[in-house]
Amino acid sequence: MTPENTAAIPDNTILAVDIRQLSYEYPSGVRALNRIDLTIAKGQCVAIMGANGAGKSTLCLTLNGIIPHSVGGTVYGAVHIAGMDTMTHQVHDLARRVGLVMQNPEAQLLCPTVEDELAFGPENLCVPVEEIRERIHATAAAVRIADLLDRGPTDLSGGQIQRVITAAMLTMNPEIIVFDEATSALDPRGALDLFALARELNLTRGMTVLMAEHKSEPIAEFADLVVILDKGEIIDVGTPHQVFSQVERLTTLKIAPPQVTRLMHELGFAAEALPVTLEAAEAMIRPRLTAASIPSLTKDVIREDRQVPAPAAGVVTAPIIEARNISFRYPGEIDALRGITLTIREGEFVGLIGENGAGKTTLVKHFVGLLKPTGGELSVLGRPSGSLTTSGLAGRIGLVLQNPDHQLFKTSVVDEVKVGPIRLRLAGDALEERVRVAMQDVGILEMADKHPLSLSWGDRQRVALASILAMQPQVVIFDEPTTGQDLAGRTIFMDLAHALNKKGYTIIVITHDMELITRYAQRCVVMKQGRIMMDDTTREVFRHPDLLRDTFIEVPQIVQLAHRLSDCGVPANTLTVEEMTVVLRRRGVGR
Amino acid sequence: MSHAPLDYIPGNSVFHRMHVVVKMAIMLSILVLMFSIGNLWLLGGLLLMTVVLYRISGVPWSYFKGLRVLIPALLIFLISAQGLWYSANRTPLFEPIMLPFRINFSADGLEANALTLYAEGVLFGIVLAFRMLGMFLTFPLVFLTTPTTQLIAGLTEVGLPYQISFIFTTALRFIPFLYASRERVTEAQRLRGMDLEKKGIVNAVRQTVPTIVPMITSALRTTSDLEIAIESRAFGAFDKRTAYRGRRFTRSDRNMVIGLAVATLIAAVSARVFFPGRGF
Repeated sequence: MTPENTAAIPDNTILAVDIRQLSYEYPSGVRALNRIDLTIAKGQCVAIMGANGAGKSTLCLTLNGIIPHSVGGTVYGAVHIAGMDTMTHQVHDLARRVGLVMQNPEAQLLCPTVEDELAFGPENLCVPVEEIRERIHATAAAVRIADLLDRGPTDLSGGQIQRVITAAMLTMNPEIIVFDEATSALDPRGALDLFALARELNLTRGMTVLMAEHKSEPIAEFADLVVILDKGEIIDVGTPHQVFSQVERLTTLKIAPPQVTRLMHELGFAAEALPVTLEAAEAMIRPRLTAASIPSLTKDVIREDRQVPAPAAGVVTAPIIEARNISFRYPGEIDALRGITLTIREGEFVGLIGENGAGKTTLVKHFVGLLKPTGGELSVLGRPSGSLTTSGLAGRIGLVLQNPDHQLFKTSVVDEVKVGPIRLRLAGDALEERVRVAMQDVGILEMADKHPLSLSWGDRQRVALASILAMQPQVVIFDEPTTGQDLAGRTIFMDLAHALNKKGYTIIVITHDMELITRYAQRCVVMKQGRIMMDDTTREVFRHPDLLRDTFIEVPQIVQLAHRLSDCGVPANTLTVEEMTVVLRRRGVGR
Repeated sequence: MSHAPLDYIPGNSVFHRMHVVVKMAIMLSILVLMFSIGNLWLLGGLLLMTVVLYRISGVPWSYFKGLRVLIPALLIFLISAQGLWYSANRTPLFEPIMLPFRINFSADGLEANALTLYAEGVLFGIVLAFRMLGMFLTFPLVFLTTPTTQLIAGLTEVGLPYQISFIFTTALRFIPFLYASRERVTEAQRLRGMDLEKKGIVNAVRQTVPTIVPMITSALRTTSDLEIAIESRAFGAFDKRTAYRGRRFTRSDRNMVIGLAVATLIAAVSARVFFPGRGF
């Protein structure tokens, strides 16, 4: 507890959250929280940050009594929510005070329509029908889902589901609303919309908002207070500026401070002076731009290793996947792909981006034979897709799906990695060698004998990747590999993809993480409603933030900064913190 | 993707609008009648009535696709088994299969060297097949026309304990989840070289483990999320809850259930008297 936080709370208010000396052990005996002290005044907007496994979700679940009432385990200390002791009050009592929006959109929908979903909570609380009706309509209007009231769960996008769930909490009239990594499955725009909604509830209704989050840029804009968790302990509480300005410390805690903060830190500004928002950074940089302007990026600014060794002029590598005007329609539904023309060449690193439901996953499923186009021509490895089966392509084109739990079924990691190659009829030393190399490449060699399901999510994803790599495909496609991962998890995965690319693998990555795209992908394909909107080098694609915004993509903070500063001679196509550091240094900013 | 079994089909039919307890009472009456009546025509009539109820509720014909296999299988199995070995078998129909040795077939120690199909058994087999079909058809319609939340609310209203209804909710909410996850899991396995085009029992078994294990593990992970989601919405706060859309269990609902029970009893008894059938 920092003095600033205490000072902000008038004595006579009932605290929204009052946690004293809270420790918690799961029924398995694992200690997830350790001596937590946290007080949050009514009407504050608080972000909880920390690495995967730091205890963020556990802390969220103590706020509405799910811990300990539903999960069990041992609790020490006390948690009071709006004056109610969570140990003595049941979950349904606390539900009137605290709403909880979780990470997985699908698992939270319980009812056949959105309207029933919004009614469910107040029905349980015995609110009269007339009042429920009023609450539903007022909330639906406020959360901007009034047009969705008749829809069923399968007709909603991830972003819409999270808004519906938020609304379903609001109809119970809570004082506090908790978002437990609620934005992690959403496209960039869906995530920003949810942040904006949370902020709006905080400002206009005076609701207390808690958000467990990995995204520090919006947190820096919205939050009054940032709480840093590490190994179940609160190690820092402060304003976004106080917390994010400790760049090096946060990085060791696997938390990424906002891009502009990292930039100014790199440029040698002292912690007290570091900006945490785009506006503050712009205001700081403008007057300091002294040296001659740089109209465009030169070779030495562009981070060398991001680019693959450029092929000699005029040499174009062989096409691996060629789609000509392909379309696809799920039976009885609208077109998922409309006239896609695309060529993927050997050795490329392609980012595939776009809003939820744009058709990205549908498209790559065609590349591995899981789906066949209903129109147009697709050839993979020089053969028409009609003649290819998924199992036949398995050794040549690998697709790493988002959820590793859908494929793990063996009792040890090494057996799991062997499954693919054995199905490809490998045996003996050749098999052992392949499996060893694949496990080494993703860094799970030391886990060989562990049970896959005993590993963390990130490690399970790595096992899933190794099991694909062991089949030695030429192309590796990643479908949202970094969802819900902390800084370390995100970088490890993308560094892996990058290393594979340098070894000659062709890489296609689907992701909502634009910072990773700008750092790693040479080429970027932007999809919207089943069509390709843009297909160019990443640098060229990100030169058009307005077009991207049309496809529900928000460009990273550095790209926004570059655009804002382009009127005073900063190249608008600067993509990464590293590049911007070099550019600004040359313009006389910092050291 | 096709419709998951037992998953709610939205609609506003007469049957949709009934209270869940009334729906269940209707289905129970049909079943009781089917098990107390031995007359084939009446049984057929009851089955037809059930199918009509499906159609009224807007369940598409495609839902009955599974029956194309089930009905012949049931008929063949039950008719041959009962035709051969039913204890009341008296009237031989024909002796289709000759055996080179004598076996003791029937209860009264009759020995024969032929498998004889008897009329009583064949008839009883058909009756049994009809009853089995009745069991397969009746109660699913309740699930198809009632959203899970209303089903639970309705049952809690007439006294089902909270814990039981909770388990029930979670289990039912799970069917569509499992259905979707099976699809994702088979995709994941095909991506690792599992060949679904290969047929045969050995391959079927070989494909089962890689599909079932991930389905169970991801189901378990989803369960806890689902439980949290349900509890966070104050489910089970009070014994009574508001019925926003679903109907309350009214006095006339209660009268209807009682009336149905009495009518079923009378019908069952009189059917026995007026259509004695063969004493099945």
